[in-house]
Parts: sequence; structure tokens; C-alpha cells
Amino acid sequence: MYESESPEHAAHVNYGMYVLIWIALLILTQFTVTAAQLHLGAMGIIIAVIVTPVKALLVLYFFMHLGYERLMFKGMFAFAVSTLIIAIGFTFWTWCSDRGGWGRHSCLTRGVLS
Amino acid sequence: MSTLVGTHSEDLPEHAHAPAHEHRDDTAAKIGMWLFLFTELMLFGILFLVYAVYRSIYSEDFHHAALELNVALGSFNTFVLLTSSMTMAMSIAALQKRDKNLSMVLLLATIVLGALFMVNKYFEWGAKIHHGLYPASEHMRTLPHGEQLFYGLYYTMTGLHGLHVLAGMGLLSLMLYFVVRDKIRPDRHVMLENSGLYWHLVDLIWIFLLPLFYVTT
Repeated sequence: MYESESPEHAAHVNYGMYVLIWIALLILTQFTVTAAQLHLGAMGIIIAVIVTPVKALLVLYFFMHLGYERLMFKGMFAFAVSTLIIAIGFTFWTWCSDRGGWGRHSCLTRGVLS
Repeated sequence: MSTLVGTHSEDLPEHAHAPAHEHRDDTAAKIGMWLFLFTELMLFGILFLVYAVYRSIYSEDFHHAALELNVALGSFNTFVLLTSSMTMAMSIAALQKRDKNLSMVLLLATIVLGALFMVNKYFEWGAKIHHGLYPASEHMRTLPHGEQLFYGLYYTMTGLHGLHVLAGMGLLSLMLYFVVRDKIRPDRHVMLENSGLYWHLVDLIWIFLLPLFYVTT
């Protein structure tokens, strides 16, 4: 896929597609806001946790052209995000393990599902 | 790498005056920009971690404090930034399609939308400050510890993001000047692309700030 990279790649992107991505982003935003207003509790949060990264990926892939870049750029991005996930994940892991572990009333579920 | 510089000067007789000895590496420029964006990602990422840990300690206080924030204003600002991201991407596409005027109009629209975001932020912060909700205020000291932390993080993270919006607006204004003066052209637009990447990052961070402070309570 990355071999198809060409310097004029973005020129192949038409305005209509940008508008479609924009509409998708607005719908996803409205979806998250409405879900929160319906007071669905944990489900509202789970929806936000799923929808927000999807919105981010749409911006990255189409607006930032990461989807059209060579594999090297995708690899660099994956490396940076993995580093961040490890930093956040391990810190939370250590922090939670010191405070009641991973049961139903653990620090993590208190924070996320409250 | 030099095959990616986006220069096909043989197709562009109008720019034949460009110096023949010019050396550019647009791929390297783009790599540099992405590396910079990764440092920004780490900066905000660690703030997200601080937020997550404090939210887990003071979940009740965070829930209560978040109810004070204006969801409508937060959502509207999301609409503004998402739209500005689209106009930014379109501005680059327009330049590549050799439509200079459209590119300039879209770039200007992006800057205006950034300004609109900041005006909204001004009113939002203004209302909070008017109600005595600012760090170390008399009213703030009477609030539970968790709510103080929530507002501390709210001002820190949205403030830092606001500074990025201002920096982005300045950068895009410079790019607009360069487009007007033909320093950025269809065959030479990596600066505009990199500035666009910065603007999209600002949008990207806001996408995560919205559920953290405004929506998910």
C-alpha cells in the first residue's frame, strides 16, 4: 500500500470526501453528547471511550493524510502511540495494584465506571 | 527521498525561474514535523494520565464539578474546530489543484474559525471566573479537594490547548502571507502541509478534551 505513495497524493483527495469525513465527525460527536445526556451511566462512558479514538483516527487518516503516507510514517506514529499507551498503562497498573487490585471496586472501575 | 519532494518543475514552466541548485527534502521536513507532534502527544498524554488518576481518586467530586461545565459551548467549539480542520485540509488540496484563491479563502476561514474558538473560550472562562471558579479563589477554597483538582486540570489543559490554538493561528497567518507572496506554491507546499498537521493536532487534542471535561460526567 505504501508503495502507491506519490508526492501528489493529496491532490487525489477530493473536496467531497473531506466533507463526508467532516459530517461523520459531527455525527460521532453528537452521538457521544446525546449518549451522555441520556444518563446511560457506564454505557455513556463506554460509548465515549470507543467513539473518541474513532474520531481521532478519522482525523489522522484523512485530514492528516496518514493513511496515504508511506509505511515509515505509520510505523513512527504506531511507535509514539505505543510508548504513550505503555506509559499510561503501566503507571495505572502500578498505581491500581497498590490500591485494591482489579476487582469490581478497584481504582480503575471507580474511575471509569462511576 | 528526493523523489517525494513534490517538485515537478518540468511540468511547471511558470516556476522555471526557481534556482536550479535548490536542495529540498520535503519528506525529511515532514518527518521532523511528525516527531515534533509526537512530543506534543506526550505532553498532553501525560496530562491525560494525571486527569485519569485524580478522577479515579475523586470520582464523585469530578462528576459534580463536570456538571458545571457548559456542554453546549463545548460541543459548539468541537463543531468549530472540526470545521476548521476540514477547511485546512481543503486549503492544501486547493493549492495542489492550483487554485490559489480558493486555497487562500479556505486558509483564512481556518484562521477565523480558530479565532471563533478562542472567543467562545473567552466567554466560557469569563463565566467561570465571574462565578469565582478560578484557581485559589475564595470560592474555590471552599470546594472539596477533588473539585479544586478538576478545575485546576480544566484550566491547565484547556489553557494549554488554547495556547496551541493561538500558536496555530499565528502559524497559519504566516502561511497565508507566504501563499499570497507565492513563497508557497503548488510545487512547493510542504510548509503549508506541516502547518496543517499542527492545526489538525490541535483539533485532535480537543477531540479528547471534550469527553474528559464536558460530556462524560
